[in-house]
Amino acid sequence: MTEKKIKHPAFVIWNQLKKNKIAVIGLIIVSLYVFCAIFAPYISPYDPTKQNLAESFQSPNVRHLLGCDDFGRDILSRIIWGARISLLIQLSSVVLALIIGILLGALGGYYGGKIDEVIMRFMDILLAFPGMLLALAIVAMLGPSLRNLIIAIGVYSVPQFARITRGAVLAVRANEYIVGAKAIGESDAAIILRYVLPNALSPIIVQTTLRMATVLLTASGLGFLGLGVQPPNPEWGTMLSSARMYLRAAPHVAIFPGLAIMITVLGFNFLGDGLQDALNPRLKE
Amino acid sequence: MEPLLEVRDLATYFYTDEGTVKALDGVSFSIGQGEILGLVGETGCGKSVTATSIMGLIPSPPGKIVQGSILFNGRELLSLSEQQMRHIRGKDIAMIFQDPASSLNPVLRVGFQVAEAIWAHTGTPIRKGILRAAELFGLVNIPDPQKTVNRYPHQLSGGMKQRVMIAMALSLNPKLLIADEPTTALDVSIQAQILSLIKRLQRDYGSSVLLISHDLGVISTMAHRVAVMYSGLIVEQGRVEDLFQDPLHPYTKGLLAAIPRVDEDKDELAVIEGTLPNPTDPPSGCRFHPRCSLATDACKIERPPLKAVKPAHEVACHVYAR
Amino acid sequence: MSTLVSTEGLCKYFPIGRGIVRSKPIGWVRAVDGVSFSIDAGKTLGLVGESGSGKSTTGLLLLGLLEPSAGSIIFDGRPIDEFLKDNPKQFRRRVQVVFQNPFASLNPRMTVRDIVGRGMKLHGLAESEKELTEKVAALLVEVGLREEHLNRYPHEFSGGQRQRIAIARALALNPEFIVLDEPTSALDVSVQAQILNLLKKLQRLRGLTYLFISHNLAVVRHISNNVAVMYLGKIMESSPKGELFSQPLHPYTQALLSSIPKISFPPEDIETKVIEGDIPSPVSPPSGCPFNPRCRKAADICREIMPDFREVKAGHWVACHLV
Repeated sequence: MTEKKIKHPAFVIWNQLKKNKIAVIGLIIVSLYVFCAIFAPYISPYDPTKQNLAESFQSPNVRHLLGCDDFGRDILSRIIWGARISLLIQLSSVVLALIIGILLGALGGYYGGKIDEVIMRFMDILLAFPGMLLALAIVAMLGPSLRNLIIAIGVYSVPQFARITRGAVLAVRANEYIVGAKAIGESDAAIILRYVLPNALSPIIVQTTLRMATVLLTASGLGFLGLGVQPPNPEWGTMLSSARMYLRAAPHVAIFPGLAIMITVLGFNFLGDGLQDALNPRLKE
Repeated sequence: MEPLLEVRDLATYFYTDEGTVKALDGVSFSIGQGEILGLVGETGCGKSVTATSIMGLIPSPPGKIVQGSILFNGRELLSLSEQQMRHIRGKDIAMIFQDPASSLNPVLRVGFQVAEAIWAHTGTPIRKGILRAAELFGLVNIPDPQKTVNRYPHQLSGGMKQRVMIAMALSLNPKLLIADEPTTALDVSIQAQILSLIKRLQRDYGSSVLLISHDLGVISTMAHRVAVMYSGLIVEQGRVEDLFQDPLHPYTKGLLAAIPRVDEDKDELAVIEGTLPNPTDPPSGCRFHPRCSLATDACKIERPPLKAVKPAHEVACHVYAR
Repeated sequence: MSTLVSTEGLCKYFPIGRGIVRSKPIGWVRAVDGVSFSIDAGKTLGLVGESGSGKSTTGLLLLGLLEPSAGSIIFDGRPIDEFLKDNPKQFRRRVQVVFQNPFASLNPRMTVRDIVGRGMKLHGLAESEKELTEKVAALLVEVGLREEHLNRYPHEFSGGQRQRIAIARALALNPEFIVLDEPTSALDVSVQAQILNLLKKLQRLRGLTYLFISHNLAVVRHISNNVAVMYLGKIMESSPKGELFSQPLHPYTQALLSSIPKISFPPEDIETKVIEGDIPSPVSPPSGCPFNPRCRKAADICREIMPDFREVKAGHWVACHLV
């Protein structure tokens, strides 16, 4: 019997992804970003908070590749360290949102009925607020700090994850292997954890990647408004905010953090879209 | 009389990541005027690909008709442009599919869809086309045709939808109707309605029909001649009464022995050993040889040609080759 | 011959149009509407029906996965609602299921070993992982697969092989009764023959009792001992297999058998075998006998009163005024 040679699913997805040039660009950007975040202490040329007023507003030159800001701090170093802070915020808030969102979405999707109604209406309430405003309101309530920023962004991301999880759970629930699991006596919890969620992963993975982009934008936005990470921490949004006043005199102080935000957000978006395409044909199997 | 459709040595390949799928690998048959030819086989035998090849609807990439000729009324279809094929599709050759629900546009009324098909080929204004649709609905026994033309597909049952498809297919009086598993998705009690409709219309219009099915009962009731397909090739071809009463090819015999019958008891269903071949890596020589109890060394090396062993009864098997 | 499973007046109604909080449903879908039958140990009851007949819902009810709206189901002398309350694990061990769609009935993320062995683990039927593997391997061989298939995933198998895996899973708990819902409908003819032969062999060797649900009368003829024909939630006729096919009494059975295209020479004239009309929706069934709008012999009484399900010959039950 000639059997088909089967490649591991991860391998097939990787192949699909490789063909999508834009997704590859996204992957490179994200990898670079993560690399900077992890190895910041080793690759940053200067201490990001070290001030040197004599060198304020230096344009990009050999010693300071991206120039210096209003306090004479090296912009390149601040950008590299900014990646670290941004990644920390992204990971913490997204993990928070994932845990709560998946729990709520899975419960709602699996049980349906009143539980589903209640959970979804609550999600609708959260979604009724324009995203940024909700995060803003929460931070304003709790006070600006890194921890509160993470909580705010986490909470405002919950409804998306809940919705996506619920949709995926509904689709999986229609399959006969769920009924089969009930027929051998599996408990509901076991069915959700072992049978439903592992098969609902694809859309959740895509949503996570895309969400990282949104979270970064929101964090930067809040930072820009002064409600996020406080100076002298080199968060990109905060950097943008301080550079506002000097836009005409020393535009490079604003341009580089702005570019950093833009490129990283684009990177996550490209990667997320590419993952969505690569994972989808697998779903058809 | 010259046959209406003559297919010679048709080969259609699909180039995929997992390899080249030789969906059709040298298929030859003909359909006469006013004749019903049944095409029978299991999954992957190539019967649906035959239909889409004739219609020129093979998605390319990844598919490609790599060789052969399809003569329709003496005209070589494979040398026609897409523009020219579009004139033929729907008008001279019409097709109905297994799942009527996915062939009808859910947001348009069914009368409009039929009228649109008529307009596309003849320029007849839609308003007149809808009147004609109502006429056709009456012909295919759709109750209350005047009202039904204004209905949407989801308001009709499976059997009704299939009748709409048949009406659409016949609206331009095609010379050849290709029916791909027309009753497989329908309930048992509705099947006879649709089959009898196809038979009556075929008689009244004098069209030829290429009837594709995996159900041997359907083929035996409806078709004049039948071709049995396996792994992209025709292994046996002949008149229905000859082939079913005196099957020659080991695969045909195996199939007939493996089917349970509703009109007789069988103690044990004879099993064809093994599994269907891998379409990207079919067996050498005769593709059926790994599963054939009569296989000899010649069968592993050389592919047997389709040859007439009795009048109008052809087999592709070394056992019968002299 | 002892009765293993039986139902009496089994009904399942699904509400339509229930609002959000506590509004009344505007109607009911009578999916199963008064079904009574019994299956002896070691035998197969073939349950035949078309769309809307309620055959699949009946299967789910017998598996205890749906609660009946009315009527009773008795398994080995005990009503199953009691059984499920007092001893759910035992019930699950003794009653199993095989589904139609080989592509949706196995969890794509679990290996064959886990799929087949999961039940055994849950019910403590294996002392160690090693023993579990051995037992699963033995089951795979019993259904015609090989030991090397243990660590593979469902998508690596063909439809027929997946059904074998599904059968192995059903056998893992050593059940007495298996509900099979269209187990071969999605398979090719040659594969179907293999699976049907396998099911017959397993029944013989293990003394299994089957409820075989299908729309394919030829398959049902081959595998059943007794047959029940359903239409719109009710049983129209039920009898031992031989009698049903040679002397069908209900007009629906007769019409159905006559209209199926057969391999026969000279070929039958299909145009004379047509059953007119469409299958009504279970949301608004016809009054009286559900088959009356399409029945050639329908009389006035058929349109008004639902006929009783009566035993007209030994073991042969029909619901028809004209019999």
